[in-house]
Amino acid sequence: MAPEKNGGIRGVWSQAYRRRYPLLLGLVFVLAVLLRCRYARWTHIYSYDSYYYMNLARGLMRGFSYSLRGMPHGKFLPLYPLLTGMFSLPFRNYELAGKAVNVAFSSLAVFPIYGMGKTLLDGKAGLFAALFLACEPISVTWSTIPMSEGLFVFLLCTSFYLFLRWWKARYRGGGLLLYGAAFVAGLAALTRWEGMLAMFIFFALALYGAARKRMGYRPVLFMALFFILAYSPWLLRNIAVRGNPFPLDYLTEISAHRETIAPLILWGRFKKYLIFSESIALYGTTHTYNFGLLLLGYAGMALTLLRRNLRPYFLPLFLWWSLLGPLHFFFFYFSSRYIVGAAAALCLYAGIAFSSLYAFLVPSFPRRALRAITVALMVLLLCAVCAGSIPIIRDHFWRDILRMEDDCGGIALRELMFWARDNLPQDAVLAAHAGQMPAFYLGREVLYIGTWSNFDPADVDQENPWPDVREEGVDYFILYASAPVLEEGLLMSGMPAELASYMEIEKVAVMEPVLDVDDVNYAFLVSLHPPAEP
Amino acid sequence: MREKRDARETVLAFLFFFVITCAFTFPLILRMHRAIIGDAIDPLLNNWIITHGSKSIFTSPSGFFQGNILYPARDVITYSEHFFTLALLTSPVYYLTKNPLLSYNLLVFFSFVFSALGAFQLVRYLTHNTWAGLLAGVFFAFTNFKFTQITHLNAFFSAFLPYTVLYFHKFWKEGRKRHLLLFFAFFLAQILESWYYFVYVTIIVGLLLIACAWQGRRDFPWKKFLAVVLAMAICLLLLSPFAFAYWRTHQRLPDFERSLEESEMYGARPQDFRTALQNSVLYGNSNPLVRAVNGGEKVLFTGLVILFLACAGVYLLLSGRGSGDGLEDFRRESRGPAAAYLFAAFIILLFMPGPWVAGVKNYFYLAFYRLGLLKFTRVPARFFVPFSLCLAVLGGIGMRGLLLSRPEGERGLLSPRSALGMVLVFLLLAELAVYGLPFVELPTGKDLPAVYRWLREQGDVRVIELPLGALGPSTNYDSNLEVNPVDTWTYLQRESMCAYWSIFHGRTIANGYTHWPYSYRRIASEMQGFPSPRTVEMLAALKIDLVIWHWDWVPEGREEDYRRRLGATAGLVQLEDFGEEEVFSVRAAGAVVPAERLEVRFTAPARTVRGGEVGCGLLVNNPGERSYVYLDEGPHRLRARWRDGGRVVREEESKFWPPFYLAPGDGFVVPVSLAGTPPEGEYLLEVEFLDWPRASTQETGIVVEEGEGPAGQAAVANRSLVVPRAEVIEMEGVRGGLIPFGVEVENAGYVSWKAGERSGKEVGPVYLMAEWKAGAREERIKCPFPCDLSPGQSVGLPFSLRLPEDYGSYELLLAVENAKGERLCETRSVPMLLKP
Repeated sequence: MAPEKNGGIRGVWSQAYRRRYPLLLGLVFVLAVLLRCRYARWTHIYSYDSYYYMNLARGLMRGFSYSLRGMPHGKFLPLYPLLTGMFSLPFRNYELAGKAVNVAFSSLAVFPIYGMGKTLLDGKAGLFAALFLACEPISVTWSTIPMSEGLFVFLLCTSFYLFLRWWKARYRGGGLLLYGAAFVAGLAALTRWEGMLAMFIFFALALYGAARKRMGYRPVLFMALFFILAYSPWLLRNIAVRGNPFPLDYLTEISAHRETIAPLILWGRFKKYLIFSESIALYGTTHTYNFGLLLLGYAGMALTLLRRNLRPYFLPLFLWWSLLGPLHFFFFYFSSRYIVGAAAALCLYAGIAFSSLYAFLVPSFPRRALRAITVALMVLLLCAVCAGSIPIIRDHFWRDILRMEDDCGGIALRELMFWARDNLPQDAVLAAHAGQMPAFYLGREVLYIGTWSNFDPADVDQENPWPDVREEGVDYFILYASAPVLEEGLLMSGMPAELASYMEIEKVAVMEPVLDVDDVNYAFLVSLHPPAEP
Repeated sequence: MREKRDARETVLAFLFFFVITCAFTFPLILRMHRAIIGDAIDPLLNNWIITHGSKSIFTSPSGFFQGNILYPARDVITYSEHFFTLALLTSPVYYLTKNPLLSYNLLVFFSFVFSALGAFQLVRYLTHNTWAGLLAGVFFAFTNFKFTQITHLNAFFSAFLPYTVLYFHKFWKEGRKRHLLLFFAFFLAQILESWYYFVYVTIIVGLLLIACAWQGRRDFPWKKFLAVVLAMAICLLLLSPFAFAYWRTHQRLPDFERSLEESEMYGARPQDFRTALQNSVLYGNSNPLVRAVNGGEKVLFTGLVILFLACAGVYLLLSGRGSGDGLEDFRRESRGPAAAYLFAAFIILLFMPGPWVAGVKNYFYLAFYRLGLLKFTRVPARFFVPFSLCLAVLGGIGMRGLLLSRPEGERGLLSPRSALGMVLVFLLLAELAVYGLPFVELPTGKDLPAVYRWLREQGDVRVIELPLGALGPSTNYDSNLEVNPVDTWTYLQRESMCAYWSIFHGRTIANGYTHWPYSYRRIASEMQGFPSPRTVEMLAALKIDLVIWHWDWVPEGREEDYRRRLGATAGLVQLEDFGEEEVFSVRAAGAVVPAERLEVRFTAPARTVRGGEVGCGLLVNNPGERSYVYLDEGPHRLRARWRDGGRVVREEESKFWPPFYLAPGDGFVVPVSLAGTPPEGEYLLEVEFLDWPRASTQETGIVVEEGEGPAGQAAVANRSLVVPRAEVIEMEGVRGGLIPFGVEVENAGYVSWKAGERSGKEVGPVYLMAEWKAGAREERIKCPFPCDLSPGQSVGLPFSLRLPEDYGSYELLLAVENAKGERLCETRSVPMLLKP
């Protein structure tokens, strides 16, 4: 029996060793999930967009309606709300479902990135890239709230994985891989508009191949059809309900933002994109990004240009990195989350660089002891680079996520909405200047005081609200302030402070700020006593 | 051929290190002439010292130690490092450009370049391998610790250290006189650079000498050994004039050496070896593996690559199984140096924790401290510099071993060995890379503020720049006077800036930043009350001619009050108005009373116990109508004789420091310590003043008893007495600053009260406490008694009292207190009224 047992153990070990990459990848996935969950469980208030997503998900589940405020919605794309709605069936909670979709898909992205590393170089490159992505600060931070970034990164990586496998055969790969890449890119475009850029890259490279007679035009055509197939539900719905396949709400917002970002010159924005950093660091670190990862990433980029076996991948990877990363600077710079797609490319580059270093150094030494010392050095370096992400995640998380609890009334407003849901009559009409957040917690529509985020039109005029109040039959305003003064609340909602004399406070919610630098949050529910009609 | 190749490699290595220095310190290369790297405190002090040295070396060498800051203190250069070598090196640049920033920044920049080049040449010499040399150069010059010390040129400038060691090895191996001469020159240059490097270079050369001598013991090279020792001895002899200047200051000023407590605070701890700089690209964000800090003294993380190489080198040397090309040669050649540097690294590592290691005494460090070798170094962690040189050499040896263990292949950059060398050097560079070092832009030349350009034309005047930053409470305003700025950073910056401006205008100033002598601390404390008749009187007595008043230094909301007082204070006349700065002339009489006119009374306890130290004191009063100023700084002697009848049973000499400044009516307690007593009995204690205030004799009765000692704290509660000299303190137009006050104290308890350490550092276990409170600001002054107070004895206790900074009514509370904070008498209250 004993030899059998030994043999058994040895067998298990040898099996495990043979499957070490899948096993280690599984561990990396678990690490990714745990790291994201660790931060996700601390979030209570989300970004403005999260509430749009969650209300859209609720609309889809309640009657397959993709409308807000009674109007067909045209800005936020439907795949993430749809999945959130579906996840809400087991979770029975849209917040939890929204977070779960984000965490799950953001973590799942380690698989396609592993595949890409393996396709480009070897299993180690894939594993290192997956590990870097599991700890990548922007990906982790923005997968902790109900947002579409996690799903988008997963789809983007999957589409690139399929495309690179096709690309590896120099325009002679299986058509299914190309069509698959186009289809998944279509799904990515159905999640965030940047998905279109992935399709643009694939299409441009395929078209170039066809033009150079390395392949026919038919695969290009099919590829486009597969993309359209994935994207078509959105197009058809838009044609049906809005008469226009491409509602341009997003562009309206971007053009409106132009004035706000004008002070930040192009070069400034470009520089920020290059170092993947948003603004000054706040908590416990002076770094604005994991510079170790950045160093490795750019080293990997250089390697794709310098190494003969990697050079063919330089163009698609560079286009991925630049179009979803630094070239974004033409449009926007408000949050590092817009380059979450390029962060995945950076992790792939870093994986390539680290794997190349490992492959160069470790076999250099024929002696086992020296090799062991070298492996220890590499493991320590790897740990140092990955651990270097932790302070940045913490910093981004506090600055970008938790700080939202001090914005627009934060938790005070949420508590006030819970109170209003339980105590106000069902037919009471409310209005607020806080986007979709009050509507989400109240469970029904809340009218808008003024335009929201430059794209959602106003129901109630901010300068002179009374005509709209009378017309819409508004009973209550929801206001928030950083001082226990109603006038301050009016000013923060863009209204004149003098209006306070026509209002009566019904309920006030107060909440300590999350960050020391912020003020106490106050949320007011005020009943309206408009002046007599002239 | 070999020499030609070496020279070509050296030039290329120089260019490589030049580029790396540009990158790591960017944008220093672009701002050399208009900014200073680091902050505006220590670098400005060092800049001032170096520029002063550059100016005086050739023009007035006898004034080398006499700086123009911290007037009236003497030999102010000896309060910090003298930087003789650096001053000598930069003097041509300074004389050509008159830009002190440029010469300072060139030093910083080329310290990196030549430290790297020196380590490169050293390790290439020891290993015959260029990649090993490059790696060692990069590590030694650019390790994180170096960047933390970039503001401390005395710990940073290491360019001569590797060359000293290189020429030591060359001489030891080849025995050529030229190498001995170069060793001598570099050793001398490095020890004349700073006292820290005097210790480091002496220790590392000493250790290497021991190691090499041990290795060659079978055929001991006596001649070489003696030549090296002789060269070092001559260098030490040449250092002696510098040492003498420091020794003189040490004799003159109390508390001039670094204490063991300071050394303990700055000793290396295990966690410091995983502490990297926040500016480090790879490790600088406080990740769980490596701590990151924003500067500081103890950033001792070496990175992983150098440790890996050192370990690999040791393994290859010890493994003994030769297989690769040239590994046998490598072992034969490298074992000696590796053992020597391992030995040196180990010994140096013992210095780094300081006097205690995990609560256990570090006898190794303490032995050198007691010998006096480490009494002028505050930061044991800075031994990291020689340690890093040892590590660089060991890493280089490891690198050579690793390269030899690879197949040779074709020659050139793309051979397997070169590729590995290149990768390891770049990996090390990635580990050590830093970014975003801080800079402070400063005006020079024609951009100088107008007031300093004007001052430059004013001839031989003495200046003080005011207002000084607000000071927090000191425990005592007399002999234990401390300077505790409320906003330390701003205060030091302003004082450093004053020193910086003084480079350009060249006039003598009372401001400045370095080790602050008592005169500075007193002036700074008094000037908190400027402008007032007392402060103007003090400036006049000190012969300070001009006051530069900076309106941008005035705290918010006080401009009006200052304008009114500046206009109303007698003895101040406005000379010039430069907008933000105004210049006032001090026109008070400024006559001072001689020491002979002072009232000096010797006080001693009525009873004392046999054997112990007897705490005595001098009560000094200025009864005249003019101030008294003592500018000599040094101590004076008195002779104490214990007389039993007419017979002298014991005689000893003691020293004391006379008060620096006494305004009319001021009193001051001068501590005097007598080392022991005669046997029990009643004696007449006679003291003879040998030279100050005048040759004279005083005597007092004293009883020596058997007992436990006078250090008791207990007293019969509420029986002891404190009687204030005045019932009320009323001042007009004065806020802040010091005023004289005094009390009578009686010990009505049953044990003696110890007056405290006579060195002036500590108050005793019982003291007079004076306190007032004004909003967030409060004062708790602990005044030591003039002498040990026996039961039933009473004594007058004059002291300086700091006034609140705001007008208003306050209450001054006076009581005798013990170290536990217990009051030993009824608290007396004195109303204080400060009127605008």
